[in-house]
This record gives sequence, C-alpha cells and structure tokens, in this order.
Amino acid sequence: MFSNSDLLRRLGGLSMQNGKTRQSVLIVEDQAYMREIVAEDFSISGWETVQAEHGEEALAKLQGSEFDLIVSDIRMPVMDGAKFLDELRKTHRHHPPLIFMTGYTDLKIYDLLDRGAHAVLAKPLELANLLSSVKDFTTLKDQRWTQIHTGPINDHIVVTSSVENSSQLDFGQEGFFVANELLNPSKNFEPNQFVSFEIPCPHTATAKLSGIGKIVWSRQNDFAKMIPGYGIQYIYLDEPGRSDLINSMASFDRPATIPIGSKKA
Amino acid sequence: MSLKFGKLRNKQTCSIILIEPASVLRHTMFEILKDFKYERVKSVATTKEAFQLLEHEPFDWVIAPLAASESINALQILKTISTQPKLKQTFMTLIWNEGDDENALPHAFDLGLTSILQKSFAKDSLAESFKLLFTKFEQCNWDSTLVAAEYIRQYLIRKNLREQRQQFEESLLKLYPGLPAILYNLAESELALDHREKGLQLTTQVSLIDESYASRCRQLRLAYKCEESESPDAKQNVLALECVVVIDPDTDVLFHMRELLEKIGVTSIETFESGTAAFEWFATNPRQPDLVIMEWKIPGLTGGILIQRIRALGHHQVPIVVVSSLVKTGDAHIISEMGVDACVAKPIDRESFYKLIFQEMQNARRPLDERAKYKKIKRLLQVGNITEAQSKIAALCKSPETSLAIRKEIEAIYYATKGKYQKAADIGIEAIKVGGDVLTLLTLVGKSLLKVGDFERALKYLDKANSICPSNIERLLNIAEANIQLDRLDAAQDAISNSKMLDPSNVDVQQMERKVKIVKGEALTQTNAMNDREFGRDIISYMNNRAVALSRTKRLDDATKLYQSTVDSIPSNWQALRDVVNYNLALAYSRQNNAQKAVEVLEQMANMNEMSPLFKRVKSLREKAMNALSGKAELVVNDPAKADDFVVSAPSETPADSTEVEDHFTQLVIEPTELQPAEIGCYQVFQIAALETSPLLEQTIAFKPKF
Repeated sequence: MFSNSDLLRRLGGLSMQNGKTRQSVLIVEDQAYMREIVAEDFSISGWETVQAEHGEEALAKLQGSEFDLIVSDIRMPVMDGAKFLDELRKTHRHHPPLIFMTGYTDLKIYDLLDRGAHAVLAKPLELANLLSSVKDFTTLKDQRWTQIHTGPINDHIVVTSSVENSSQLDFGQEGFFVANELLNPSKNFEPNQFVSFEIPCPHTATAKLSGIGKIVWSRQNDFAKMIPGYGIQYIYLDEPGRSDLINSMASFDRPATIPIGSKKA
Repeated sequence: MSLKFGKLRNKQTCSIILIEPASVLRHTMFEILKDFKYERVKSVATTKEAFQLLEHEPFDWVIAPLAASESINALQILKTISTQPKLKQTFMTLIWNEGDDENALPHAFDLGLTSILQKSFAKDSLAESFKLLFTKFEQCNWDSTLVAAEYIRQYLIRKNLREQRQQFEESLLKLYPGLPAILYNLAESELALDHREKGLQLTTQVSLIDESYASRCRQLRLAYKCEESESPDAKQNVLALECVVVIDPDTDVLFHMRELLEKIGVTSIETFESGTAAFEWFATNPRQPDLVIMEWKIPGLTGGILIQRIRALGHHQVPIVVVSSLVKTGDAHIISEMGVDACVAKPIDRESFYKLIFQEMQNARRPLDERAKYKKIKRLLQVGNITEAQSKIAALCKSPETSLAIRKEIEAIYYATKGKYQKAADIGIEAIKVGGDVLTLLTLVGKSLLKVGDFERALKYLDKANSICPSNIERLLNIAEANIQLDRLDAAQDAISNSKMLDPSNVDVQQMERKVKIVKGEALTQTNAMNDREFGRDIISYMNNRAVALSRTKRLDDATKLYQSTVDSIPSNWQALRDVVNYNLALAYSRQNNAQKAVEVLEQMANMNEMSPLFKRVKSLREKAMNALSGKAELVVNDPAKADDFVVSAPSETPADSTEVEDHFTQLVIEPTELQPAEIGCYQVFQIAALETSPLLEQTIAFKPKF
C-alpha cells in the first residue's frame, strides 16, 4: 500500500520519462491560508508548486511555463474560476488537467465539466480524493483506461436501442453522458459508484464501446430544462474501442471532459 | 405534533364507522371501501348508533354526514372526540350533502375535522370522491393537518374571506416553517389582499427555496399583474429565524451562506472563521442562537470539540448542522452523540442549503417523524424543561407507531432527569435489550450507576461506550471519576490524558486532573487551583469528603495525608474552611492515638471565634489531647462510625435521590392529556369559530365509555 505522499512522489517519477525532473502544479486561489495548505500537500510529495491569486494572474503564469496540473478555486476576485477556464481554452487548446475546488457553488458540476474542467472537488480538500483525481488525469494518454477496476461494481448498463442523436448519448475527453430514457430498466445511481457498460459509439470501428465507468454526476430533476441522465467517467475501456476513441478525440470540437447532455425539447 | 393518518394507511387494521341513513347508498359506500381494501368497516344508519359504537370501542375513522336535524350531529361527535382522551386518535371525514349549512364548516374544522367527501347517489362519482380523498392524503404525506388545511383553504377562497385566509396561512406557516406549499399559499393570500410587496417577496422566496414552484409563482405574478423585479428592502423572515451562527474558515462559504440567509430574512447572522472565536462568542452570549451551521475542519477548536463545548454550555436545543466533506465514518458516532442534527457534504448549493435548514427547523420546532420527536423530547429533558417534555412524551408514547425501543429510551432518560438514577439504570438496560440506541443508553446507564455509587458496574458501561466512541470528553471524565472512587488512579490518569489530548484548554479536564493529583497526595499550589472560588470549593469539598470516607473506614494514614494536603491547598483567607478541615485532621490523628500531632493542629485554631459552631468541639478535643500528652488520660475519641467528621458540601452538588420510586412514568403516559392545537386536522388553528358557538353545539352529549 502506498502512502499518500508516496503516491504523489510516484506520479512525480512518471515525468522523469519526459525528461523533466519534477511535475509542476499551478495553484489558483485567493485565500492565502487555503493556497498554502494545498501547496504544502503537493510540495512535500515532491511537486513543484506555483501560486496565483486569481484567474488573470494564473493566465500570466501559464504564458511563461508548462504545468502538469492546475488546481483552482471557483469564486475569486478579478477573474473567477469559470471565466479562467474559458479564457484558458482560447489560448491553450490542450491545457493541462484542471481540477476545481470549492465549498459552495451555484454552478452545477455538469456545467463545469462541460466547459472543460476535469473534476470538481470539495474544499477543504480531502487528500485521498485529490490524489485519486490527480492520478486519473495525469496518467499519459497511451496508458489511460488500461487497468481494470478491481473494486466493487454496482451495476451493468446496456444500451441496445438505437441512439438518434448525441443529445441522448454524448462522448467527451474523459467520459460520456447517457440520458435516463436510454436506460431500461431505469437506474438509480449515486456519484462515485462504478458501473460496467456496453453502449453504441459513433467513434469506434465496431460502433460499440464497452468498459467500466464511474458515476461522476447524476441529474434527475433539473428545472433548468436539461434532460435527466448521468455523467460517467471512463475508468477502463476494452480494445479496440479504446484506441479508436482516443484517436478520434483529437477531432472532438467541444472541450467537454464529460458532456452536459442537451436541453429538453 | 400533527397526527398522521398512519392508521388509515393500514387497510387491514383500520377500523371504520360509516354513517348513512339510506340503506342502498350505505351498502354502495361499504362496497367502495371494500374495493379500496378496507376490511373492518361497520356501517350504521344513524349518528346515534355510531355514538353508541364509539362508547364500546375506539375506532380509527368515522365517516359521517352533518346530520344537523338528528339527535346527535357531526359537530357533537367531533366535540366528543376532541375532549375524550380515549377517542383522541379518531379521525373524521364529513359526507357533504347539497343543502347542508356551510356555516357549520368552520366550527367543524376548528374541532379537528380532517376532510370532506362530496355525496353522490351514483356509484361511479362516489368512488371518484373517495379516490380524490385518498389522493389528497397521499399528496399531503398523510399529515392530517395539511389535509384539513386544503379543505379550509378551499372554503375560505370560495367564500372570499381574504383576511381570514391570510391569517390562516400565517398560522400554518408557524406550524410548518418554510414549507414551500404554505409559503406559496401565503403569497397568494397576500396578493389577494393587494399586499403586493409582501406577496412578491414571498413568491421570490418560494422560488429560491424550491425551484419547482418557479413557474407557478410566475403565473401568480402574471395573474395579479405584478412586475418581475424583486423588492430590495426588508425580506420576510419566513422561518422566524432571529440568530444564526455560521462557522467556516472559508470566507467564500461564509459570504454565500450569509447571502442565502439574508434572502430568507434572518435578522442577525454571526460568522466566525475559527472554533476559538466562535466559542468565545457562545461563552459570552447568554442567548441561545436559533441555528448553528459549521464546517467540521476548523482552526482553533476543532469541530467535534467545539460542538461538545457548545452543548456543555447548556445549549442543548439549538440545531447544529455540519456542512463538510471531511466527516469520516468514524466521526458518525460523536456527531450524533453530540446532537448534530444533520451532516451535508460540500460543495453545497443553494437548493440543498435551504432544504437542509427548513428540514432542521421543522424538526426542532414541530418534529414530524418519530426520531425527530424523540430528539426534541430528549433535549427538553436535558435542559430540565420537564413540563413541556411531559405532554410530548405522552403523545409520542401513546402513538401506536412508536417503537418499544424509543419508549424505553425516553423512559430511562426521564427517570435520570428526575434524579431516580437506579430506576434510570434498570430501564436503560432493558432499553438496550429491545434495540435502543446503544451509545446513548450505555452512557446513560453508566452515568446513573455512577450517581448511585455502583462504580464497578458504571465503569463496565462507560468503558464499553468509550470503546465505540473515544472522543466524548464528558464520558472520559466520568470514567476518570469512577476510577478515582475505586482507587485506580492510573486508569483515571489515562482517561484524563486522553481528554487532554482532545481538548487541552478544557476547564473540566483541568479540574479532574487536580482531583487526581490531590488523591495521590500532591498538594496543589495556591496559584493554580484556587483562583476560581467555585472550582476551589469544589475541589476542597471533594478532597475533604474523600478523606472523611477514608477516616471512617479506618484508613487513617491515608486520611491524615489527604487532610493535610487539603489544608495546604486552601487559600489562607478561607479561614472557616481551614478550620473545618483542620478539625477533621486532628480527629484523625486522635484516632491514631497521635496526641502530639493532634495538639499541633489544634494549636493552629487557637484564635478561633467563640461563636463558631466548631468552637466547642475544638475545645473539647484539645482538652482530651492535652490530657493524653501529659499522661493524665488516654486519648479516646468517638467511634468513627458516629461520624463526627465534617462533610463539606460542594457548590454544585445535588443529592442523589434514593427514595422509593413510584411508577410515575407509566402514569404520565396513560394520564389523559388535552388535545393540542393542530394535533388532529386543524384543531383550534382556524379560530374564526371562536367568535360564536354553532347552534349545533348547544347541547352537549354525555359520553359514557365502556372500555
């Protein structure tokens, strides 16, 4: 069993392969004490840390250097987290993974992920959650989704009906959206549960995709008129679907890590 | 507390009286009820027959016509139900005929009528009426007050009684703080009275609280031709929350919560970024806030310790909700033990925030489910509010839906509150056996046994509780106390060290540590122990009384050592106290036949005031000792069993009651209590009828129960 620090150090070692000595993280947060705590968590595990007080400062730092990860607050003065993400997209099409941390927000998680964030974690940060996210998103693409999840799996999703359009089933860089209406019998999932799945997929040669996913969000009653469904993160993908999907991601035109799904008709 | 129609849901056991004069129709209704799976239906032709049935046994549900022209009318039945304790849990539905006098309705509702059924002679439409009725029950979650409210509302709207409707909705809101359905109806009633600003406020607030009302509110505003713009001034204080405390180091969270609280009209919001700052406020503000919202991981005093300290100050009733993602499963026990009412994960959004607050305020003020009612009773007992607790205990224990475990738990806590500790312990043990909350009961039994002096057994229970949840400081100190009494000073010190690690600046912990030191024979220096008069007296009394016990059981060496260190710890200006302990010390030396020492000590009291009650005794003992010293006579003092030593009472001590216990809990539960407002339907909520009595109630009918 690795300790938390060990894990962060091990991840740091991965970048040795890229010729860099340590992995670096940009921490964006206006409250100094919070920024310091997060910086400390990373630096005692061997990461290089750079701090910024708000989105604008962060963008400036990103001009000069490369980072392996960005961890950012949402509510900040001058430029908040959501705006920062949108601006980031304009200048860095392939930006490093961005993890949001927040205590309170009216922005829905599915909204933020649709705009390109990788995860939304609770603040104060629970180290285990942070590390699990970091591990997920900083693993190199050619090694992503190759390890079968060994923990408990809650259920199995099979979508056999023909999917008319992407409003019901939509694929992103880190996961997919599936509408309730495609799930027969209907399901009742909670975030952080794991499911295995077999779904149609327009991006693979076999037109199918199968694997294991993690429920990241569940939207059931939404009065903002979005159709109900689940946001599911790829954890493991069967070949050849996996390679096909990775190859086609380059041409995805939207930044969504997990797509939001569409509005109700 | 509103009576739910729980019994009406259970179709096999629900007993129904159906009254209908026309036999064919009566049969039809009987059939309809059977179709709805109700098996136990007695159908009769007259109200008189029904009344006689009620005299023989209680029924769950009476379905009756108004019967204004009969010898007994529906209002009289309602009156009987509401005043006869044996019939308290009987619900009534009125079968409404064309031509019945609507003026009877307000009186009927005020007497606890729950619902109305439209009469019809066709089976289909009659079945529809029943179906509508059951649908209403479902929609209102089988809450009889909310169901009755629907019918009253319809009546008031139909009769265009706008003022009364507004008052009614306001009374309802007090019973169901923040309930969106009622807020919405209140908004409508205000707009109907042309109170546009107030009405608008309320529609904005409802939509904030519950998004599903947004479109209804929009339509309402359109109907009354209101602008969408929100009025910026004074918000309606929809939950009647005056003071809310929020504790979180994250200033963003504090900002958002303040905003959300302001939107629902909270008058005073206190925010703190650390546990220490928050505790200081609590310690210096006597008024209990209405609600505390806190993060678990906070600087200064951490979450678990802060909560224990707040409760220890006596704030047992304030709801405390924890909003955090850091609460681990291991913390669940201390959380529930300390009376944290709810725990919600971050990040939190507006809707969940409001849901959380409304739920907790409902539970605190007018709990609707068994667990919440039990919690309320427990808290009332904790603050010693026995009177208010009693009526609630009676209501909860009489309800057939209350589990045996809860009943026993309440009984045990009740006896402990009244000081009947042996009884509390016995019942507590029974309660554990029938599945009561283990942690609460183990602690209760342990503390009660501590009070009656059964230290071995007390420890058994307290240690077990501690192994489940090791961070309860009060319990750790109880364990220390029990160990001291059993002379297991190392175990006592362990318990104290554990509490010190949890809360180093806790004064109770420091006090217990001093006690252990004293018992070990280490004298306390004047400076640290006695600064606080009350603590000082508490310690002195403890030490002295312990020494008395030692002396009486002939452990004279230990006794004299302890007396001496006690004297050494008393500030020089507490002369009277010094004298008492010195006298005891001299007495102990005398018992050891140590006349020399006895005289030495007594010499220190040479300047004693003649008026002091001790004077004579000191004089007599001194003479005896002097005589023994000079060889004139042997030093003989009274048998220790005669208890000449002086016991010092501590400032905070209340004597444990060991008198024979009458079984008054059972009496309490079976004693008839009056029906409370809103206990059934809208009993005494809709007080329009208070003005004149209905002619239908002119005659009172005697009820002679034969059960």
